Amino acid sequence: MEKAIFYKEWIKMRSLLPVMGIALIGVTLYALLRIDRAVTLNGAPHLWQVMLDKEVVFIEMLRFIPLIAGLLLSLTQFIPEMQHKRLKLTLHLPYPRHRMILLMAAIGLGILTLLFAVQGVVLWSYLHRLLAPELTSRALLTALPWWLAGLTLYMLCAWICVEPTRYRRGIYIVMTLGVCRMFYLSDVPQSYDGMLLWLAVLLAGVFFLPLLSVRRFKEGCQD
Amino acid sequence: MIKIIKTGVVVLACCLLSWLLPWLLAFMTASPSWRPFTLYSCIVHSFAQLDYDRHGNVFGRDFNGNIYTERQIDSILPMFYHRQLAAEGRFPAMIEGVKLTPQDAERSGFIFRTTPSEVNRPRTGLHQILESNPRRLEFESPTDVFRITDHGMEFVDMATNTVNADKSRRFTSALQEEGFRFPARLVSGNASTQKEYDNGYLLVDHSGRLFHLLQVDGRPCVRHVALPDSLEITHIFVTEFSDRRHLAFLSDSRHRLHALRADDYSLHEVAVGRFDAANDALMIIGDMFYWTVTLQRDHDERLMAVNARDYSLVDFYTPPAETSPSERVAKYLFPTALSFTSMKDAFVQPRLAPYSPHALWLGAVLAVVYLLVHRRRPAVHVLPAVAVLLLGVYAFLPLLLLGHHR
Repeated sequence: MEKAIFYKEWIKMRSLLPVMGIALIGVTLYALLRIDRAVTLNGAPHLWQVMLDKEVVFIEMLRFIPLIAGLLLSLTQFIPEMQHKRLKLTLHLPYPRHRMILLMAAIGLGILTLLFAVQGVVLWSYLHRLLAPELTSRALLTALPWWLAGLTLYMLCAWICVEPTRYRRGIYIVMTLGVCRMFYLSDVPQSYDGMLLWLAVLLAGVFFLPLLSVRRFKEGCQD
Repeated sequence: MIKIIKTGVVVLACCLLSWLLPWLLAFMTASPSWRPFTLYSCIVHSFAQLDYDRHGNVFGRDFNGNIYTERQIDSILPMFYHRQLAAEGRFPAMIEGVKLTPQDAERSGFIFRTTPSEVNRPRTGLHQILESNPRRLEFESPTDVFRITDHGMEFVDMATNTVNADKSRRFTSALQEEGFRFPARLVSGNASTQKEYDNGYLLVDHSGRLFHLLQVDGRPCVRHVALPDSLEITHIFVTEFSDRRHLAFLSDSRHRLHALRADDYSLHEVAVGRFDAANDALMIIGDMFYWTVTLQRDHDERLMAVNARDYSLVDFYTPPAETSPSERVAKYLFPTALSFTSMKDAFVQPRLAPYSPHALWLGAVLAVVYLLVHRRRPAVHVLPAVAVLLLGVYAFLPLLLLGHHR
């Protein structure tokens, strides 16, 4: 049954994934190209100097990319389930419904994690040759909350999509906006170092939220 | 499982409200705060303030009750308004028995400022040391950075991202020969090239001893600075003021401020009372006679005049503490407040304000309303009502809006 669920999710995501992968890596390479241009024009010491003096990490343009990726993947995966109430069919499959929803979410989260990991590896591969380990880890630690924001928004969006009533959906959207804001409160590099554990706990918590919407769907809540 | 998730959603909503509602109130009621500019006058020997009257005209007053025009204020604060006085040919030839020129006033004047948010920031652990004896007048940006490891000082060339083993060895040896024990507890310097001269770095080693490090003609120049054994330095602020009198300001574990003299490395306690660099903002506007020190912690401010010659306290003034309108109202509306950022540091992390019992009245009213709404099955809603009593509007709104019937 797991194989069938994987296949079902693959059918929904297969047209988006290549586009998203290319866009994610493309934007990442563009950010690195900009750094490379700065190095060519002003030299690597200039880059170090600016990073040390101005509190920048040169990959700021990537900050909302994981968020957009999480949103798009979640919409692609969960909106088809709600069209014509197809979720009802899914939930009638001979498979525990909680496990089914969590598996669907885990597939999406896994793909996003993979994409973000590839992005992280691309960044690290370029930056570690150019910069001291302290500055490379500074850039990657600054990006870590952005990746966590993408994963969290993915789950929150699934929670909203599966919710059967407009009233609750409205409240969930407001809550989601508040949660997303938490990931973008400071531009100072590494300012989230002490918050990462809390954000990970939040991600672990929101992983289970779609179960609530499924339960309400199953109970027949509707507008 | 579903019950836990439902509770989790309410808790999440509660957290979001405790963060956003106090912020929204502060945002809506924000108003500009104004404190008159205050300096200690070496002429009238009192604090003097520059303020505006109802018509927007500048006027001054001192704490002896005298009122001054803008022109008179220039005269009683000659060390601060020396350029204006010099331009008008009114700069005094002698102050407190000391003959001086506008150039002396300019050279001895400095402004030093530190805030908790500058002190409490994420750091890279990489530093740059300038050549203190530059080839030309201007300083050149260093081509390398250094880090201090458990075993020594390591220079990394920025162009090639490789360790300069020879320079690292030379600096490590120079420090070790002077008795430095790695790793360093504190490293402080000012790598800006926009300054008149370079005071290098002050380092506190693993055993708490203070060292002064300069790079002169590419070679390390290290000196151990003797300190009293009981003194444990917590923060160092290297200064490079025009008069070249001081090397740095330091604070210690007993929250005292010290000035380190550049000529003989002598340490002098500055009589400003308790100063904790991690929590207090400090501004010193100084000249060769007096320093006006402004020490600020949260809403409390204290102005002090320090004699620049012996660092003793001459006068002090505590303006009435000002709390914003939102804070006055908030303590009656919100039992607590969650925030993630702070004026005291540059980190994002959850911070919960102390519980305000003043907000219990609103919690009680909302708890009654909540029970009235759920009067058909009151027994089931006792626990949520207690939550509303304690957490007020933060629990009331989620419980009402995300109730079972919704």
